[in-house]
Amino acid sequence: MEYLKPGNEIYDPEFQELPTEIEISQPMNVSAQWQTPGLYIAQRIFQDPLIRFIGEKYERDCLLTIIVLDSDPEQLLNKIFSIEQEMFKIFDGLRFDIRVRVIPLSEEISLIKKSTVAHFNRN
Amino acid sequence: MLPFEKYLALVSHDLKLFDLVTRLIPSSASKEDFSDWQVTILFYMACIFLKAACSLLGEDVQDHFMMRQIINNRQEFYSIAKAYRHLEEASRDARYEGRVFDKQYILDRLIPKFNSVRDCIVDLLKQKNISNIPSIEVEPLLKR
Repeated sequence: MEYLKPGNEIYDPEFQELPTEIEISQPMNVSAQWQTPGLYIAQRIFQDPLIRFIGEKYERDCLLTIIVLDSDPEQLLNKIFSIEQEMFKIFDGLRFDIRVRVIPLSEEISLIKKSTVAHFNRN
Repeated sequence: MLPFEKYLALVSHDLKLFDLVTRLIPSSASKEDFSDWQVTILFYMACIFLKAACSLLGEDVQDHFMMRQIINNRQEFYSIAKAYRHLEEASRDARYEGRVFDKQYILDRLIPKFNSVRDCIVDLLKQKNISNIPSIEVEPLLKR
């Protein structure tokens, strides 16, 4: 499966605004003008039942993607960090940060949701 | 003192702190859980080990993004990148979010990853004919 579709240019923070609300509900259902690290990884992992939220924001000098997990089994972490390894080649030269947070379901995450562009929201 | 020597000395120093935070807690702090700092020290020891190796490879690492770039691109470190990243994310949860870790989680999930990073770096240092590499054993300290 090809995740960087032709025509989807890689995001350049110097020249482009971060895409506004882009939520992923189905694989390959993304029609963002620019491909960002957050969108790229969200498309690959959003279907995992332990993923509660994926959001992205531009912070200081890098694109920060926050992935909120209910728990962090080895298989899921391995998948996330394997995709991250690919991303260092795909987004070569772009500063990005993949933040993997484990947050109990009892803890609300409204602040994270409010401060990021949502790519996936399990609700 | 060469940069790699300084970093190896720093890892030894951090091990002493790990020793302290895994000992019996004094009664004045008996209800405190210091697993957050245990995890944080584990990560920093892995990070400084990597800095030692990077300095021998001519890489001057000044921030965490650069470290991630190096471990995910350089063949020498590619096999340990995921282990390192788990240590890093766990330590971010620990020190910024107050995540508490079960001792078993640290023993089963994090220490093997720390050991894999350490062993990779020790092998690389040996290939570069570096001697006097400190022995860094964390598991016995946590198991006490």
